[in-house]
Amino acid sequence: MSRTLLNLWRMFLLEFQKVGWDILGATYVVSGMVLLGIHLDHMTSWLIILSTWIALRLYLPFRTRQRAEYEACLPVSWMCMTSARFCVLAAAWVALLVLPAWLDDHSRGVRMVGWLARHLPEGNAFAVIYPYLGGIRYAGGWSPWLWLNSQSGVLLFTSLAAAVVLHVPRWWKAVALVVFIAAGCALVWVCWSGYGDNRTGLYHGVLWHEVPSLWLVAAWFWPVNIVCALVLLLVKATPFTKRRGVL
Amino acid sequence: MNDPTMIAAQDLTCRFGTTVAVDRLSLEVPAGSIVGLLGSNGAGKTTTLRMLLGLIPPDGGTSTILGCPSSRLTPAVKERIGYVPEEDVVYGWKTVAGMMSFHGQFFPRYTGEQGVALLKRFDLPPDTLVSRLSKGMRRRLSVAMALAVQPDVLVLDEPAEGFDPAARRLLLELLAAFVRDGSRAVLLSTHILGDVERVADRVAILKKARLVVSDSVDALKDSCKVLVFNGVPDRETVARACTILKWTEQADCTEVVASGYREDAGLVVREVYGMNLEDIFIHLIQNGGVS
Repeated sequence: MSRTLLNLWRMFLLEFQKVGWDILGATYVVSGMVLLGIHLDHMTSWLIILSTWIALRLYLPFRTRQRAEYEACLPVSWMCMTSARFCVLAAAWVALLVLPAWLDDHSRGVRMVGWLARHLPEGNAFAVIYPYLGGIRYAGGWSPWLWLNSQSGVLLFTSLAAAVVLHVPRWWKAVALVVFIAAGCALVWVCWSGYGDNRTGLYHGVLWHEVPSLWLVAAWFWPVNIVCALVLLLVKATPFTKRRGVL
Repeated sequence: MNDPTMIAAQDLTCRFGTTVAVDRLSLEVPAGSIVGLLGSNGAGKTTTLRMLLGLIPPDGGTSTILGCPSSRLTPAVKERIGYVPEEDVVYGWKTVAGMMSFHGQFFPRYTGEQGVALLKRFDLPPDTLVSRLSKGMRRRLSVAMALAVQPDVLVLDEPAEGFDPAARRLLLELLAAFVRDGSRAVLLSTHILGDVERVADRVAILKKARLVVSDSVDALKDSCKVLVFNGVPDRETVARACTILKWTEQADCTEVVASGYREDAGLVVREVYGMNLEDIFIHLIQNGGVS
């Protein structure tokens, strides 16, 4: 038991180093591209697509083939390895996005994020980028729905999908893939359902109304991320999986 | 010896789409032996190793390693396997000593002293970041990591790639010592045939996904000869006595590269000489399998 826990801890540290750096790197990439996109305005959409792609390229194959092979040969159970991975993802998600927003919007404890957003000069990078990264903080408060409405939400979704699809036996891959694609499509639909005149959907009912100048940027995240993730998932989970690696 | 057969494969088959990567391969690696897995590029060596280790599922056949089916290797079995993959597996942000320590701690037989000693033997700088190592040094680290955990089975995929001659010699010495007590085994995939000739007990040669030879090195060398005949012998007579791999007619003689030749076959031969493993390999790959 103690050995299992030790292995879990070691894998957690490893995943923390691997995924942690990837998330951080991808976040910076996305931040920079979003900021650039806002200033260039008409190029926003394309830059978001590009940045999302880059981010997902970093996120999803969080194990390259050689790393995958190496780790698969370590005397550690799949459950241990996967638990460590998701502990790290969940920790990163909470630490980077959920917690600061919660602290800020509820005026509990340190008002770090709010303070930064308010005291830095108008249009500063942090204040502008934060809503897109977290998708949580907006003028009227916060919503648990919007927790998912973020890069990290997509990361968790796609990572979970990748882990499950790549792990299950061959023919179950197809079933799992269909389930995740359906789930992804459902999420895209939810995000876009308010698009148009009424703007009552998850995104547009909130962001369009509350932060009108930013809706276009934010609204791209979920649909584009989901589509990119599913494309990558398809590539990794179909027969190519044999070539690409293991889980 | 706990497991007389350390690795066993029966009719192992793997396809990538319509391409057959490994075709009904059967192989045994007994305890106390080093088996060289040879083949030209794309012959299926790495795929075979990956199937044996359960990294990819086979499309047919079965395999076991240390008595456990490859598809269901438990952590307890993996603790007894040392693997050097084709591509180096190292995390660039760790130091050499850190990587060794990280790897070793998963394996109960690992001791820090053993790890440090192997780093020294492979002349690896312990405090250097892995990302700053050259390709050859990374390879050394991969090999040192596999040996440091004191496994029962070593599976090595091109371990000496990028090694200088001194490192290659050290590797061969370590492999020979590894199997000396007869309880452990090595499956060695490599293109360096001289290394196989020096340390391997048996060879398995893959050609276009199929196993064309599985024999001891000595038997294979005994079996494959160059026969020199005066003039031009009757080809059918020669073919009845052995398998012709290459037939070269010269001005006053005919040189035949043959496998399965026996001196009591009744052929009138001017000269018979042996070949090294590299020559044999080239003839087998170019001219077909051994009967």
